[in-house]
Amino acid sequence: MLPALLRLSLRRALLALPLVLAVIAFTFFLIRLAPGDPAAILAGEAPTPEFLAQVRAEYGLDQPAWRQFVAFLGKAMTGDFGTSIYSKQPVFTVILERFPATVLLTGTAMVIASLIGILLGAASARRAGSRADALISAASLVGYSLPGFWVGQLLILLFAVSLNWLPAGGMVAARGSYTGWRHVEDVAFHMVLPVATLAVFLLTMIARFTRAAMVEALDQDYVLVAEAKGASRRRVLWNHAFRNAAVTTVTVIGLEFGMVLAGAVVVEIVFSWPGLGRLFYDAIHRRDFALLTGAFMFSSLVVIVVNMVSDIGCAMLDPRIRR
Amino acid sequence: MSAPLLSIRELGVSFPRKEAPSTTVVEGVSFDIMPGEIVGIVGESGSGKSMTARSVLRLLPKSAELSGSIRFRGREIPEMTDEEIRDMRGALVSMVFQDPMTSFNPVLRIGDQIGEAIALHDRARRGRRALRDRVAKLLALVGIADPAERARSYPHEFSGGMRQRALTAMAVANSPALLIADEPTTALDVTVQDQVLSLLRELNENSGTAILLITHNIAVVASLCRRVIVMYAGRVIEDGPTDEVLTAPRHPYTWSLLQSVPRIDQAGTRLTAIKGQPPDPATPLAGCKFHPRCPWAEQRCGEQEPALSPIGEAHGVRCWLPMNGIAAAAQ
Ligand SMILES: Nc1ncnc2c1ncn2[C@@H]1O[C@H](COP(=O)(O)OP(=O)(O)OP(=O)(O)O)[C@@H](O)[C@H]1O
Ligand SMILES: [Mg+2]
Repeated sequence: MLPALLRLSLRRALLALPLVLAVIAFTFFLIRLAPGDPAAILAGEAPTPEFLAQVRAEYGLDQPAWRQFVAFLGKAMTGDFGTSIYSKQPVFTVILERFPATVLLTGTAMVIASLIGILLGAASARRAGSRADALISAASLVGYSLPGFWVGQLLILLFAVSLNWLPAGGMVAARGSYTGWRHVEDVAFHMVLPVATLAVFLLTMIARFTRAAMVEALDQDYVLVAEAKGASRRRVLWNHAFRNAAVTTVTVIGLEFGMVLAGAVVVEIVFSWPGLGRLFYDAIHRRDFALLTGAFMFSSLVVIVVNMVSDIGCAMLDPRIRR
Repeated sequence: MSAPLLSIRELGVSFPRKEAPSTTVVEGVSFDIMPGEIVGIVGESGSGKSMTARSVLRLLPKSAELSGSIRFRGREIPEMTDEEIRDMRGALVSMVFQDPMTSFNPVLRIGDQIGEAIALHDRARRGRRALRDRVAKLLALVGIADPAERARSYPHEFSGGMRQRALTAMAVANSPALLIADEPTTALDVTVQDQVLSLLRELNENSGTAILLITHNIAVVASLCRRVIVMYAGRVIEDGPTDEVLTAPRHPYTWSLLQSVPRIDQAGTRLTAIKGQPPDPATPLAGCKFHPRCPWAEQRCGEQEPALSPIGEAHGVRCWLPMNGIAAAAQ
């Protein structure tokens, strides 16, 4: 089993390489197509033409685009994505600084959405056609259609402003600088609303797809065979039906991760969460092209990696995919 | 004579419909199975064979309604609690289904699935090692080479014949008193069919397992079953010793069924398929369910349904005008 999986992982990684390159090229050129002259921004207000030319030469901006790209690629290989125009720090450092907050936010949202989504999906598949099933389906359709910024602001109005139960934004309380367990508590407290906002969408997707896959699985002969062996309903539901449906669930989680990351940008802005999404937003406003390119590439890579992991997860769950 | 192992009386299976009378797909089915006996059920597609078989384990579709009495060793199955019926399934009564390709869970190892059947009823809670040994023994019993290694295979790595053997191994894992085999060979080619059938025969001879064998294939019944039950439109229309029923059928339906079987000694003669279609269970039909297709039907046949009544020793027929066996054989 392991050699097969290892081979599969390697192959997926190799297959991902051209994709990574394409993403880097796409990002690089796309951002250069955006209006605004980076040299003008770098040079500050009202620069002399000589200074502008000097800046261009210094940053290689006078070179043809493909040359710039090759140079960029060469540096990127060594982890050098350039320097943030705004903070004057290496782009990579800035990104890594913000990344953990986003991982915490999206990771927690994904775990919670998966757990609840799977439970809801299984519950409604078990009672397919019943009222509870119809209710869950309708609710998940609603949840799926609600825009994230709206849900976020609604939650803030309700739980932060009106009820004053939870903080409206930020990652830690502004006044107290807690340490140890109190710090964990504080962060968790601040996470409730953004995580809930982010999880709603993913949760409904997972519930819907898991339900469909489990309804199909429950209709298969092997479920009848399992019952004929004397397996309990719970066992049939989880060990047989869900075990098969899990491939669908994992695929959905993998595919939706991109949406979750995009949703995180909105959620981080609404809740002033100091993550990558917030960084993105700021980089756009400050015309920080180097940072924007880096952040865009970095998040694309993360999406590619997560998709790869979900592919491998599927292969682990279904031996017919390993080959 | 000993007490029957399984005794079915007036079994009925119906599907309720909205704003219409429910569809009855099995009605008034009664028969016994003695310990160690092999009984065959034959009948056209849709005649209710599978529904009858699944009633025994209470594995009917969710929407189905069950009526009548099913006694296993004197205990009424429809009255058992869910837990009691689960304890019985796979331990005392087990089932092999028609399609070996879809009967295994595709994402679990064959050995684990057989092991599950054992572990579910394993009071002694033997360890994993013992379980693995038992699985390998079972696979060897059904003639799978290199059983310990093959137990680690997934279903898609097995051929159809191997899967059907593995299914049989799973069904007999706990030495059940009764094995219900619902068309266990239909999906297999002829040589593999023979292997699976001899497997069933051995099982019956060596462990005394009674077998209820559902099949389309008269030749299978002839070679394996001492008794045969013929079903038509959800009813038992004939029930008797195999040699009697097959050589001198008393019900016109049985007779025409036998006529439609190709025979080696009559190579070249045209198959006389039975004219017409079996009745649609959704629309009620008065009288004998076979009368629209019966060449000998009288007025009475379309008005009143005959009961299954004894005709000869251990032989019953549901017909107003049973054929006299000798004439039928001569036709
Ligand atoms: N879920 C269901 N709802 C309504 N009718 C059903 C349902 N399942 C089966 N039936 C009907 O029950 C009748 C008997 O079906 P059954 O499967 O017992 O036939 P069978 O004799 O086993 O046929 P085959 O040889 O094709 O397996 C058929 O007419 C079928 O259409
Ligand atoms: Mg059937």
